[in-house]
Amino acid sequence: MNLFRTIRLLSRARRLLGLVLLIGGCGAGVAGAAAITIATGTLVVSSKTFTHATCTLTGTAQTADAEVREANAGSNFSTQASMVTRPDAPNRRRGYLVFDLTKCSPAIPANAEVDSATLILFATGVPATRTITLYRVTSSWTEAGITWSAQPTVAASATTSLSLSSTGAKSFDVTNDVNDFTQSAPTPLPPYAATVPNDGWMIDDEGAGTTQITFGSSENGTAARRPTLVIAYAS
Amino acid sequence: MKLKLSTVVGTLVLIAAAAASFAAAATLSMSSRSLGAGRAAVSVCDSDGFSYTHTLDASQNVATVTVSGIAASCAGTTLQLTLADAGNASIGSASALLPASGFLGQVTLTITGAAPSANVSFYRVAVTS
Repeated sequence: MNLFRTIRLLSRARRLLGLVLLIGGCGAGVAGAAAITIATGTLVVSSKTFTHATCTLTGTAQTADAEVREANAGSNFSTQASMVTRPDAPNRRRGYLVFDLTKCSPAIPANAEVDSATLILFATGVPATRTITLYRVTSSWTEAGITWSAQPTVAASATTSLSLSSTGAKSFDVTNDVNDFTQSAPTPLPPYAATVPNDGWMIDDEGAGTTQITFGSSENGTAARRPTLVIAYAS
Repeated sequence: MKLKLSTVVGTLVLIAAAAASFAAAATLSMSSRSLGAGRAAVSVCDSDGFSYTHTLDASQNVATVTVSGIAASCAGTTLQLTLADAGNASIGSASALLPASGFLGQVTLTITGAAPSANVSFYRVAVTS
């Protein structure tokens, strides 16, 4: 047989191979518009299917929260119906809260990827427009033990902030923090070098003045005024 | 030896059909070099699957995906990731060359395309030489 004809045939066959394998390659679970063209030399084809779900946490059984007051530095304020922020020393006030992610039902699977996470605080007192800032807490604390003098550490950068000018439910985007909590636990996957512990957030007013902003706490008698964490996740 | 194009095409279609019969398999691997001989040799660089983590942008689109648990034998290959929605339409993708030396078994891919995390139903991964 003519050598050139053989080479030409093989060359045409190679071009066809990509097309044919693309069609037949659906057998590897890659199909439709999202199909990856299976070229020659494919070593692995793999896929992961996600199921999306939502978890909502609220109330004292799922939340630990407290207020700390600079003027009462050694006292614990964790059983009252509200948390207050105030920016001026020596009368500063801050709130702390953490949600128990293990209380989600159904349970959030290991290393779940978060689609979104929203912290909803209900402002019951907003006498003037203020910017409220959330910081991720980076060391452990207890609801009954936290005081102004015994505050946990927080992240150097704020998670988010929100300008408040009226009362009502206020939503803070805490997606990235919760994503870190869930994806790194129970065993951290790359790029996490260690589990990111869920120690909640600090609620702070870093401005000036004496304005006090009041939020409902988990002990609030009106359920709609309690802090709520809504997590949408995939696994 | 005398080859006819129709014979070659027929052989390739047969091989493709055989590949389709592995629809339930999570991983399919093949070496093109053996196709001409009518045999589907397996040359798998990773057989135990991958793990994934992601980051999101401010709009909660998938910004990056870190693929880990990649076997060292995949070093020097290219990993292609496609994010697909429930209808299996591509809504984001990325690819990266896995370094031939110093490969640590993981790669972080920056996703091209706006892929809302809530809309991602599938990750599709192909590792090619």
